[in-house]
Amino acid sequence: MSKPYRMPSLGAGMEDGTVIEWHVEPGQRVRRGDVVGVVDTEKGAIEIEIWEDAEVLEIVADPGTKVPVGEPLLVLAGQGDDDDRSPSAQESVEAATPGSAEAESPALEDVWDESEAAPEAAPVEAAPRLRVSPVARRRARELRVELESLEGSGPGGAITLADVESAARGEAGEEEAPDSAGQEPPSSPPRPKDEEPGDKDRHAAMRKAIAVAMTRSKREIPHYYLAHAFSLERTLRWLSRVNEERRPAERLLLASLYLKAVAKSVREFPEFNGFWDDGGFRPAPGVHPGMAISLRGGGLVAPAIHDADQRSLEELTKGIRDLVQRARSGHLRGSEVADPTITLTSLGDRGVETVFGVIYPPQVAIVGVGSVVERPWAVGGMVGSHRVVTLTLAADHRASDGHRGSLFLDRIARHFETPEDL
Amino acid sequence: MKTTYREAVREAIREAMHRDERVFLMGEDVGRYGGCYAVSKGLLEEFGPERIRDTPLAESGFTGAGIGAALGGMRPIVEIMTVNFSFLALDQIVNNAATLLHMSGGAFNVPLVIRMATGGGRQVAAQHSRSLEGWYAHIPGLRIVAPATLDDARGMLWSALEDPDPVILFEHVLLYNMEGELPEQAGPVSIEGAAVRREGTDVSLITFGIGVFKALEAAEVLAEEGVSAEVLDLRSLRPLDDRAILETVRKTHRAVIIDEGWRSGGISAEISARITEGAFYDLDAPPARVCGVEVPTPYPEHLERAALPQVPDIVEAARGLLSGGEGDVA
Amino acid sequence: MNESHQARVQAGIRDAFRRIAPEIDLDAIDPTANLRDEADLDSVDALNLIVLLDEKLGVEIPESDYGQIATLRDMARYLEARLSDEPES
Repeated sequence: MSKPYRMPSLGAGMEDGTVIEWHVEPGQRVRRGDVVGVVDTEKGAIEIEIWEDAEVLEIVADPGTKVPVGEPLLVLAGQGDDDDRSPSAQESVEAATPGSAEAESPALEDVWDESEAAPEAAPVEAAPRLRVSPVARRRARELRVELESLEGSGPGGAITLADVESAARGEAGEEEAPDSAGQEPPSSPPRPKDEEPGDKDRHAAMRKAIAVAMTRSKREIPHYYLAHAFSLERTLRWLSRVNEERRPAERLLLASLYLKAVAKSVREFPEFNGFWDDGGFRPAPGVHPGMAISLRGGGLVAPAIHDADQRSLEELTKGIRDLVQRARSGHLRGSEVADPTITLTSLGDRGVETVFGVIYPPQVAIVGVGSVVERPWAVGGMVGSHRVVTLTLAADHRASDGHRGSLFLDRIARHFETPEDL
Repeated sequence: MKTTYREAVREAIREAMHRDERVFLMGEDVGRYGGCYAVSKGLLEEFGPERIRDTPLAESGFTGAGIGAALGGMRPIVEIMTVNFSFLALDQIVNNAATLLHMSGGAFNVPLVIRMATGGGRQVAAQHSRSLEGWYAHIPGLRIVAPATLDDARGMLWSALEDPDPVILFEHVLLYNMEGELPEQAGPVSIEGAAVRREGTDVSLITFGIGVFKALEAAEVLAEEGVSAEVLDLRSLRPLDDRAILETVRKTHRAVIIDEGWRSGGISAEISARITEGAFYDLDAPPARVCGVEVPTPYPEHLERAALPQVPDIVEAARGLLSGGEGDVA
Repeated sequence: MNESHQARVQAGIRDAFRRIAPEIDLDAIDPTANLRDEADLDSVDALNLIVLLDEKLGVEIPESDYGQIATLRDMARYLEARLSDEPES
């Protein structure tokens, strides 16, 4: 069951990426979630992950190679034999499929959309159609053999049933072979400095990517905007109390509260968590808010914090700190860049009062959090000085309406105001 | 019992004459001459001129008479010397025999059996070498049968006579001299359904009539190369045995259809279409056809041989589906 | 004594900055200007900086002291002072 591992699409507008380095070598076994290499994109250097347990058979794209989205980077041997498919192997393949589909499908469609919408973009050329006999195609699907990696032996070089079955058998045979070589950690030669794409180019590329995505967003998405200001006094006091007793490494970030409040709320308002594509709304199965992180020197990334609704504030804080640090140093992972289901943008403590976001397509909502400001605030007939924050929602009117948006925003605020329950 | 295809057909006629007095044979030279291919030799003496009737050279006339007799309760066997001459009787066959049951609202069926010799390979040139089974197989209301083996030659006639509708039996001219063993007590066989003549796993050679034996020979050659060919004898061309065709294709995933007739609009086209329609997702290669070259069959021996499907052509077509090579799939 | 603290603090700050803001040239930053503005550090960077200083120097900066480390110079002084408070090991 050999199959190609392809250049992932890491967001709207990405057309290709340049391989910077590999962390794997032929013969090596990889596990689902492993980072196998680094690819340079307009979003910076992104660590790309593998989506199943497999063995690396071949490196197709050497470092320095520019590879279009969807083209093979590696050839992998998956697990399992057709006749004796162990449940675990099957499970892992099946488990991997939705994950990778989730990671790729909305973004891939974006590439097509963009090529259509932006005339200056090179037209995406259809790959030459593989010659595959009908039964070979059917069997390949059954055996989960990737046809693209096969050499056809049939008439006109067509891939035949025998090619598919021998490929499936071949890998099964290798599976059984002892894999002493596979256990060695990979030696990844350090990348020569001069191969590094220029920062200027990268910034230009990132600007272009942002331009494409945001232009598309404003052109296609009928945004509506809601804002809600509320007192954070109680929340901030709670946070100070908590952090007072903690070492720096254990302190909570206010951003983790934002994140958790949004993640918990969106579970109750699923129409804000997902994608608008193919003319309809597709809710996302998981809650993976993207954190908008502005990069010094310009540019913006919004990598995902996976399953934020199920994580503690401590885990979220660690996640955010780790993500920001890696965003700064260019070590984001493909899944983080490709997976967000809703975006959260926060101006932090040094910005202005209110931010209205632009939705990152094909997502359908972006929640904005302004800076905390001190304001006169009336509570129960008494005016006092409160630290106040303005929460905003920009949402896709095709997927949801203002009434629900308003309830959603209010729910976020309520969660926010009761941090001890987050 | 050692016998020939010719004798097997004769035995079938004799048996039918004995079993059912409504049965009679008529056609050109079937009586005194004993039949153009000597099938009816001796029958005139045995059954007399009432039941073994020589006719004028008038296919339309005596085929029409056969239809009338059948309508009148008889069980006529009309021998048309070769398919080439049946054109003269087309109106009777297509407009009358095939339609009367339907046009009479089911009141009149036509229990007629027409036997015709078919095919080339005897150096008798274009006007005497046609294989137009596909033409007749096109016509609803007819049942088209092509006995290839001795058993079928011996057994199909009775079943055809039993059938309430017109049945045309095509006997390939090169088969009459074919010798083989036939049990003493050989009796009727069904005229329905195809038969696997050789089991195989890699490629199906689908054919009928003389093609069966060419395919069996080709299968031998292929076997030496390690290719296991299955040979399907269609036997009935109308109706086609879809189940058997799709079954063998689903088993081997490759099909070569062999038909002496021309490929354009021929029975091979119909079979290929049904395979594609019914077993597309089981195909490992496009269906291949080995058919008569689309020219009027040449007279010179070497040209005639080149114009008709031969064993090496079948072998090559099968190889083409199995091996990579250049692959001349269009 | 004081000099060694100074050196440790300088090394610690540099090290921490390399991690949280590798693109920042620390020498180009006005030591009397607001550090977060100068280096464009957001709240997450700021917390990462505090965590790293704790790891490198063993100085826990409580949230209530954040106001005392607003500039690079203040930060260095604060850290040196905190180091001096602690018993030598």
